[in-house]
Amino acid sequence: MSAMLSGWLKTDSASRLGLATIIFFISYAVVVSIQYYRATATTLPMPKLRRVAGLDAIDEAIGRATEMGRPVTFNTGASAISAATLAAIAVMGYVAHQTAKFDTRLIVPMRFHEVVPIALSTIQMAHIEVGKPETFRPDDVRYLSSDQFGFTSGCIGIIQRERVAAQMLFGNFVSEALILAEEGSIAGAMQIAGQVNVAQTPFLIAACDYTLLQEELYVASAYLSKNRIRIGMIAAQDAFKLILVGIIMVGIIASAFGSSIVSDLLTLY
Amino acid sequence: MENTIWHRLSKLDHRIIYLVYTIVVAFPLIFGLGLPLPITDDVRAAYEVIKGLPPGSIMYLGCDLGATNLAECKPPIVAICKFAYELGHKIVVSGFWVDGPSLAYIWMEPAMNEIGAVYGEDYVNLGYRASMSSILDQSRYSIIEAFSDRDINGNRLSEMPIFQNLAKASEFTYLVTINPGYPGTADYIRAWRSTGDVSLIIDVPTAGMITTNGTHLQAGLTQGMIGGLNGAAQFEALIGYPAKATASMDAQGVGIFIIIAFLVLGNISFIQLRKQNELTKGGS
Amino acid sequence: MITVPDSVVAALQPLHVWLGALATLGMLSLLYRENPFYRFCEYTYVGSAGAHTLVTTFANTIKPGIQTQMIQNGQWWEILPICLGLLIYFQPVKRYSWLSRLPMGYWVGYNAGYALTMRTAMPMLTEVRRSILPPIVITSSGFDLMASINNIVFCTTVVLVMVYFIFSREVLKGRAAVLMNVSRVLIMMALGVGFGNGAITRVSLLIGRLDYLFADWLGIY
Repeated sequence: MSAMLSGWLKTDSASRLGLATIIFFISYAVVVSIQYYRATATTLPMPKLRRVAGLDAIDEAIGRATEMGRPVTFNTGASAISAATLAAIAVMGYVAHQTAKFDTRLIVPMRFHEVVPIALSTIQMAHIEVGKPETFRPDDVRYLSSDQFGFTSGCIGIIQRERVAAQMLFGNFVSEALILAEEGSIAGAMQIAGQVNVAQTPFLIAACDYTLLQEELYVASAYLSKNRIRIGMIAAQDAFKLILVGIIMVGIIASAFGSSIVSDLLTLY
Repeated sequence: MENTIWHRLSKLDHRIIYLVYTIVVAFPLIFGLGLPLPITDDVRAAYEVIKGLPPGSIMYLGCDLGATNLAECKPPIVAICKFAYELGHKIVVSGFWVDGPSLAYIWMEPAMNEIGAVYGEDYVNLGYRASMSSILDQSRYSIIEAFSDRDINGNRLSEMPIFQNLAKASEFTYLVTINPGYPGTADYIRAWRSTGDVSLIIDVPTAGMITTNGTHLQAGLTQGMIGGLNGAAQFEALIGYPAKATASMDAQGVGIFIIIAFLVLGNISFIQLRKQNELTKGGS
Repeated sequence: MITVPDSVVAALQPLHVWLGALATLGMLSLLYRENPFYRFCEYTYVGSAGAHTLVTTFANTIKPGIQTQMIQNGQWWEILPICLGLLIYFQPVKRYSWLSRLPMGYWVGYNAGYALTMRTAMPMLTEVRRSILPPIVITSSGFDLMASINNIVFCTTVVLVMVYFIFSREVLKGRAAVLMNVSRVLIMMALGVGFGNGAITRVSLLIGRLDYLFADWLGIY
């Protein structure tokens, strides 16, 4: 076994790379398949997700906007189509559902044209679900500019002119995060953010009422959509994270005894 | 109780803070203070990597930035290009932010003309292209085809001397990515580093991205980092070319000091007000 | 591409600087309050950024694609992806808006497939490998206390923060649950560093604008 292992460790980087990739994807596929099976087999109980602080605040913010008769803005961030944007759109589906129910206006400024049709259909669907298709306003999904600060200054204009009562910032934000949150704060809007960019999260924590940390965004999207497959995928990711934590811990213990076997196995080039 | 200094401070008009801040930052910018500038390991590593490469090496310069990043991105672009040219390296510029390559073109042209670099032979600007992932992927097989055989001005790439020895991405000796966010370093790592095409990457993020991009450096996915205006000033010092970044360092130092002062003052005010509120509640 | 003579560029330079300075002052005027000057600058910026995107995308991507790939190289089949892309414009037409989903579906599928390759695995596995550091560092000169402490803090942080982001099961139970608070503190410390770096970027942005106003516009230094 050890001869085989050392033989493999000495192989050229390309074949090692290929083998590492295959092992990685097989293990990932196994974990995902198990959780997918759990999610689709309705007889099995679903894993319970830890409650993420700040989710209750979404209803509170919409309620506040409804009472004040002012709009809510939902910003899906600075990424085109990505995991973070799709998670943000799932949260937006819930927000659109609630705003449609209470006849509160939802304004969605957009930076990427690719996301516009997805946002439009999500909001339209929410209006149809609550039985108010006629209240859907396509003009409120506004493509502003793909330029970072062109988009940001457009958002600032909307916040100021529409006097928004609540601002939701979900997705992947870069340096416009603080500008948007600061502007919302000045306008007196209640702000909830869910952000995957480590560099910008602290600004949102400082300027928003509630902030979801990193992967809590994905949990929020699964939790609010109550989609069994989404919840199953969170459980799959958790299982995979545990595997990685295990590998790291075994590697650290091995290295404490002077062995670099785990690190060597993970060396690709 | 309402008239205590802490109460007045908590109600301070933010416009006064902006004004004070601007005046204080402007002062060292105009007059200069000569504050010391230590060199960090990350910037030194970037310098050593570039310096250690032989003449004839080819650099891919990814300019994924916007006009707003002028202050932080122009100084490192100019300094890195000058240094690379002096070492006999060739430079290929492109970017996947609309403004990036155009701005790089405007900023680089005077500097490259000044040192006598020849366009098409020593450096070339491929311009902006939509769809980063597919262009970078296609460049692994043919750069000319991926960029439709045209540079930023519509000239034919296949007729340029620089492309006589450059066909695909793996022939880039190193990659320098200048970016304030996404798409940026992580995308280049995914496109060319993960596939083994380019193994030397120098990361030039804005200061705000240093924390995020630091993980790539720690993991060995990038070989050096010139972070923000401070990193650019350090790089200017290492190559012996003090320019805009160096001149801005005093203002940045004072600006950071003022932020810390505001933070401390704001927190003291917050704690004092809370104490006063508790006393008032206890008394009633 | 239209080439503008250098003499014309030089003659227009002062106008260029004045426009830049006025736009900077216009945008900064928002710090005082929302006003028509800011609004004018905002609309102009959003409009010009949109136009610049359109023109640059056409000149650098669409035009060379059609000119070189299709006309000169005879790759006429490339008309097919162009047609697929154009379907997106059916979005406003109610009856045929379903057609706009086809390019979107292709785009989402392409990106998901692109991510599901070594491109995702390699950086992750490399980061895992580099997270394995020996807790006891022995160098040629003996036991290195500082390096050992560094490694222990680093490894503990990596493990605790990864465990914090596990949502579907309780990894740290009972008394160990207190470690969740430690994880939160560690995350907040990292975010504090990010906050500091972000603040520096803001200072740099201000310096850039002040430098433009003082040096390029007013010529003070």
